[in-house]
Parts: sequence; C-alpha cells; structure tokens
Amino acid sequence: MFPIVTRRFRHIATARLIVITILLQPLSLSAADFRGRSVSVTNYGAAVTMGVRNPVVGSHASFQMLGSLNYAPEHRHIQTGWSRQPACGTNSSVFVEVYNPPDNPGGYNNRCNLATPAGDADYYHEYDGSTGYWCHGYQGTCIESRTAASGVGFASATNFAVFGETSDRAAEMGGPSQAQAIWLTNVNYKPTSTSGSWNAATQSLGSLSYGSCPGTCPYGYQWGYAANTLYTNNWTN
Amino acid sequence: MRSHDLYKMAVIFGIVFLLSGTAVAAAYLEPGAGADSVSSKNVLNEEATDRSSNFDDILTMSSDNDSKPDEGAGEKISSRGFEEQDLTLRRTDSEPPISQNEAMEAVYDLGVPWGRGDDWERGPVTVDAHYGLATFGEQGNDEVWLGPRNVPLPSGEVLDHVEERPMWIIDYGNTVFHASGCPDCAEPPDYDHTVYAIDAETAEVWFVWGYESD
Repeated sequence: MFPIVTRRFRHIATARLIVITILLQPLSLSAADFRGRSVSVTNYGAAVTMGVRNPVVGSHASFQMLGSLNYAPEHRHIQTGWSRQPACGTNSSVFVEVYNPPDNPGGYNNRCNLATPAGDADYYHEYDGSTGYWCHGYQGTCIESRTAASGVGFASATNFAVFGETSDRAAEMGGPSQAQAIWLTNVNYKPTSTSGSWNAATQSLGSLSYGSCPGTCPYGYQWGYAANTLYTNNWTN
Repeated sequence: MRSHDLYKMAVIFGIVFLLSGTAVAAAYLEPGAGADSVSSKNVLNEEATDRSSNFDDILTMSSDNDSKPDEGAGEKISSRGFEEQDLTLRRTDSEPPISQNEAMEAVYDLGVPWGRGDDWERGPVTVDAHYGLATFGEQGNDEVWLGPRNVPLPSGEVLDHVEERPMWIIDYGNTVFHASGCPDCAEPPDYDHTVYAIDAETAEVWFVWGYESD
C-alpha cells in the first residue's frame, strides 16, 4: 500500500515511536516534586506562618518550607520548615537545611531537630549584618546560627520561596485536600540586613510559579495578591 | 481533495513526525541532558554489615572503633558520620548515664524503623556508635553561639546550646535520610546513612542528619 515504506524504514519508525511513547509518559515517573512560589526580590531572609500535619510518606519524605536562594552560583540556599520522613520518626519535625557546595563535598547540610511543631507555627531565617550570621528561626527564636561567609555562602539572596516538596510522588504533600489545605500565611521578606525590618510579600513583587503539573494544578498556585498567603494541598489527589 | 494528495500529505506528515521525534529523542539522549532528573539512588552499603540486634556485640564493635584513632579522656573522636557536621565529640572517662542499648531504644521510640538495628527495606542495617561529650557548634562573635541554639526540651525548658554534653552519636547504615532541594535545583541526595544525637541524660534524640557513604 505504501511502497516507499521499506522494512528498514518501518523498523526505524517503530523504534522512534517507542522512544516517543516513553518520552511522553506521565511525569509521575520522576522522583521528587515541588509546589510553591519563588519570588524574585532581593532579600536577607524570609518568614512564614505554616500549618503542619503528618503526611503519609512510606519510606519517602515530605517537606513544607521557606527558602532564600541564589540561582547563581550553584543554587545556594538556606531553608527552614518541617519534614516528615522515617529517619526523623513518627511525627513531622523541624527541619533546617543549607546548600553551599564549597562547605562540604556534598554541599548539603541539613538535619531534623528535636522540636515537633503542632498547629500553626512561625518559621523564618534572616541574615544579621551586625554579626554576619544567618539564623534559622522557629516560633520567634533562633534555633541555629551559621556564618554567611563560610556556612551559608551568601549574605543576600535574589529569591525567596515558600513551598512543599516530596522526595517521591508516592508521598503526600501539604493538606489532604483543597478543603483541608495547609495554609502558609504572613509571608514576609527582609529587605535589608538591618534587624527588625520586614516587608509583606505580595504578588506585585513579581512572583513566579514553579513546579510541574501532571494534570491540573491542585497545589500552590493560589497566591493572594495582598494577603501574602499561599495554600497547599495534596497534589496527588 | 484527491486521494493522491492525501497520500502525499500523509507521507509528509510522517516524515515531519519522525524527524521531530528524532530531535526530541536526541535532546533527551544527549550525554548530560536530563541529569537533574537522575536520582542519586543509594548503593547498598558494601561495608562490613555487622548488623545485630545484640547490643553487647554492637557496643564491643563500637569500642574497638573508638580506641583506634585516639586514646584517653578529652581526645577528639573522629567518625565519617559527623565529619561534615559542626560537632565535636570528645572521649570521657565517665560512665554513660544510659547504655547504647537504651540510646538505640530512644531512636526506636521516636518511631524510626531501624532504631534497634533490625533489617530495613534496604537490607541489613549497620550500626556504629560513639559515646562522649558532644559540642555542636562553637562560640562566635558577640557572644552569639554558632550552631544549634535554644534547643527546646520536652520538659518545656530551652537549652541555650549544646556544649560538652554527654551524648551517644549513633550512625545507621543502609537507611535513608532525605534532603530537601530547592526550585530548579538538581535533585537532592537520599543519604544512605542516618545519624542520631541522643542526649544521655534525658535519653532523647535531639538531632538527626544524614550523609552519603564514600
């Protein structure tokens, strides 16, 4: 019927169709995922009030965090929030992280802390120009200090982000449904290195979304223009 | 439209389709492309797996490990498990307020499935335990402590910082500790070692971290 289609050509076409089919598989084959907002504004820290639950994670992990980061060089960042994963026990626990590749071979330095958040809790991190230190903060208290020079790798960041993340799509993230979402409220950023100065985050700062959506986007695309609020619910639903 | 035209259109469409498929495939298959999506999965630990639920055996093994690099009270204990942490652990002559067995029970009571050193889904769990006086961080500028601070205790009290505190540091291999990534970052590692700092006076786990074996 199609004389120009030789056997070899059919084989090549079949092979390419197989490759195309594999490439077009749903993104659920990928391991980790993020949902949230990254806001492009120079900052010396960020703060948020965040709810907590114990998501079903199996042997994977779920995170709810805020971060300050520089996309260049090397995506250095400092992040504060909570995580649930088997390594840290039955309950979600406060989690802090720094990614500063020169600091150690792997670049990451992170740990779960003793504190177990319940209900809404305040999280922040801030750079203090008078000491040259960053602080991870929980419930209004600095729970860990690091130097900007060698510990974190920067003093100011170009973006801050509020987000949820899983290590695998088999793990839940955020609230169990949109009706029972986890709310991230009172999102603020620190515009200068001076202590005590915080600005509310609004969409007018030029926020950009990130995270891919396998279908609809049930998570993280609700950023109140004035209310500096983000809500999250389980994207696996 | 004539059938001949339809045939030509079908052939043209097919060629375009295959060429685009080749381009997409080439982009994906190019060396280095898509590296961000490649998970740094853990390789099963090939170290000696001295896993055992017999705590006496484990304690003996740990003591052997401890005695190699340094001797005597005050000596710094070195371990791969915390070389990337701001932790200094020094040997002490004092008896631990709790045994290694009890420290591992504290990990287990936290809800950690490998707390007792039993097999986990990645296979045999290795255990490497050290006891000593632990200091997390150091004194910084302006009397600000660098490192973990204001440690909340279950009693409701807050510990200013952890300095010369009797602690067990227990390293479990063939386990997993997940790091958090960031927007557009390369996928963070799933460490194959999980390390616990257990306060020996309160028998509580205070910090947990992970690292990837060499």
